[in-house]
Amino acid sequence: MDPMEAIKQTYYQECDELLLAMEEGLIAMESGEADSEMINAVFRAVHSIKGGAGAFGFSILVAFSHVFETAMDLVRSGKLNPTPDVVKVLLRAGDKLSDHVNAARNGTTGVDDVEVKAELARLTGADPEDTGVPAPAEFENLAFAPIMIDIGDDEPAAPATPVWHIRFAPQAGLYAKANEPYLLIRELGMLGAIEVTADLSELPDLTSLEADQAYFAWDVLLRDCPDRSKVEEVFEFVSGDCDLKITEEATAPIASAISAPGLPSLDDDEPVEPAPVEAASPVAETQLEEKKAAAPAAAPAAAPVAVDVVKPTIRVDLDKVDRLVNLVGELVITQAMLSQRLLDNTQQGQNVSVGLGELEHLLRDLQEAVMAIRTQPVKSVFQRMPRLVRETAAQTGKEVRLEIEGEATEVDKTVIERLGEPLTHMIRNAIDHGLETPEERVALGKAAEGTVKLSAEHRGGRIIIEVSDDGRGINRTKVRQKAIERGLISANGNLSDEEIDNLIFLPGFSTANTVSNISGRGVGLDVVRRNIVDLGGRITIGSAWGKGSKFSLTLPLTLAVLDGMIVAVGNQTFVLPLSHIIESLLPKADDVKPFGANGMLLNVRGAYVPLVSVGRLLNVPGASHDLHNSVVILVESEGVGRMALAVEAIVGQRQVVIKSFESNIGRIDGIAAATILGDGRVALILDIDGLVAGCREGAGRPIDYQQALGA
Amino acid sequence: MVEAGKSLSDSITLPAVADLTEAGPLKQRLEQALASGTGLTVDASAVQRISSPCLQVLVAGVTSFAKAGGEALTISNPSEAVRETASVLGLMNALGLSK
Repeated sequence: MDPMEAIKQTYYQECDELLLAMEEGLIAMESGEADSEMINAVFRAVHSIKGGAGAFGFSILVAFSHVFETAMDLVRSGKLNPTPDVVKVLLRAGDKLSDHVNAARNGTTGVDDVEVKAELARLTGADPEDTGVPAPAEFENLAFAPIMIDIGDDEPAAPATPVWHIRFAPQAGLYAKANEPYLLIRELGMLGAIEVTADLSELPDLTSLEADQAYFAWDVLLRDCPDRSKVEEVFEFVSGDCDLKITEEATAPIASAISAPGLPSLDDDEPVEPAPVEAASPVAETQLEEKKAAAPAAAPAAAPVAVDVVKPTIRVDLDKVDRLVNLVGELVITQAMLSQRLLDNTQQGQNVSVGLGELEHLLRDLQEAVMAIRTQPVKSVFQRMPRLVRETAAQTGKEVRLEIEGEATEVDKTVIERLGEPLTHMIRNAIDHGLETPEERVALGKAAEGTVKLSAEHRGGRIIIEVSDDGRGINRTKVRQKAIERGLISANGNLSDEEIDNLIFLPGFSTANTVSNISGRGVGLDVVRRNIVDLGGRITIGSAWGKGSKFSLTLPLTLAVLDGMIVAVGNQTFVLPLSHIIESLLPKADDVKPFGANGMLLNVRGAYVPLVSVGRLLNVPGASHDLHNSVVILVESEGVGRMALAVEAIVGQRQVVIKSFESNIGRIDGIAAATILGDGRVALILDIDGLVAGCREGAGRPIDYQQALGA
Repeated sequence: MVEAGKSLSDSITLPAVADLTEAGPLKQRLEQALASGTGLTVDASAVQRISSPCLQVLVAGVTSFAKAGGEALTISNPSEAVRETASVLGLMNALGLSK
């Protein structure tokens, strides 16, 4: 790869992280929970994106992030109050920024940011030189004229250029990277006339001083420099290692305050708190008092801001991790083979088995640790959802609040990557179909604002993700009618509520009367279900008319290993995923009843469950078709319900490493994947949902896996 | 750091490049002098470059010596580099260097 391209890729990755951090901060601001550190983090994120964009010459991205950054700077310096309206604009700006980054990444243009830019400009309007190219004539009229009138009596006319107050507090990292404040301040001196005041208030006694820490801070007044960005450029390379605050001062009074007699001596001088409005007061005495009053307020700001406690991480190529995962998988298999052979062949199997048990234990730990490398919190997917909700809400004219729970829940990266699309569909669906319009809601006695809840949790070795809304719920009459219209079900079919609910997952199904941009084109829920099933997951709906619906996704934590029950059918060995198994039993002869032409039912404590022989279903050679002598495993599949599978024997229960053969052989109904057993043989992992669905649809149609495998 | 023993007041010489790595040893030397109650003269004539961490140690030293009430810590013969750095950083007074 072209080295520049590699650097760009790193930049995009960083952008993704920065955008996430920004979104997080903005959402905290929206809920009013943001502290100054979070607001700063948002600012820094925007700033860093702009910095990188500048380096790569993405001028559109630079231009937009500059306007955004300006607004954030006003917020963090307290000049702009982050009211809900302001935060809304900032959130939209955040969305646009992410669009711009994507545009830069894909080399496209044409992100329409005019509106957002204008809104940002309106926010920053009080500070005209920040909204774009500075126009000195303008600020003379707008920003300074009133002040000049105020102080006009006893002060000489102020120069037209602003005076910048730069509060610069290095952190230890700045020194560690061999940066030197002297050079930075000298550089400031080249921009215009400077007055430097060192703030020594943090400097401890010699004894408690640590040589590599940063205690000094500086307040610099810079005159004759019209351009704020020039000032920012000076600190560009140290912005991560210092607290920097650039504010604009009213010209004359501060100057007189600095030189006013009776200032406290240098050693205990408090930082000059930027207070442009108060500073306009012409009386030096008042000025000083105000300054002192402001001092305590300044103290916390001057205290070293806690460095973000971020756990150190490294970027590793996913391929490398996969290779490691694979190797550990092989190791587990080898261990199983070894133990099997030893136990088969030696008389003193017992002695060896203790050691082998320990080895197995260690290997499991190792495997878990390796798998953990690949896990990520679902946060990375969930964090994209607030934006989606905002946009969908705006498009549909509905008021929506998104509640997110359990975003720290960790799941394998492969699952995370493939979760985004189904979640997007489901949330859109919840807003577009589920929620009523504000008017309808009010008429129904509900709050005008609808709630969509997104939650994740671990349960029984799987991850459960739920998307629920408090909207109207599924209109079963309408769904049924629609399904009849489309010929999906027969008019006189008798369907349970659950079956009707599941109709909405059929391809081409939509109850929306009009096709909207968002959903209703009949693609969506069938895609969702397919995605989830491909992931080895299940999806269920719960719905109460008038109260809302809830979609639950049950997904495996990883796609690489599986707890399974090993069963024998004929001369073949199969693996049943443990997560589907309810129980296993030995049926009595009179519990098995024939049903229809060649169907069978099993009486399980009074309830009849369809009974299917795996050997017959899969056409396994040498399989006994005598149901009375088999072991029956009761399984539950999503949507289709319970079913009894007859096998010849249960071999055992163990964790197997999934070897997908979809990439090699293609998809086979009823078979999920393969694995290698301890004795080196290949065993097929049964896909219970596929099996059950297949034999329901085709009424016992055998799946010829031998043929499918080409064997 | 070169040391020259004197009976009443010790003196040390700052190296030509007083960067971050010098700040630790400098602090230790100042602390010793502070503990023994003798005054200390820091010869800054050879300095070509001085870093803020070193300046922090020196300023803390000047203040702590003054607080202890014993002999003072003085910086002697500051080189042009030291004067320039201290004045840009607004530390002339704090270091007891008159302009």
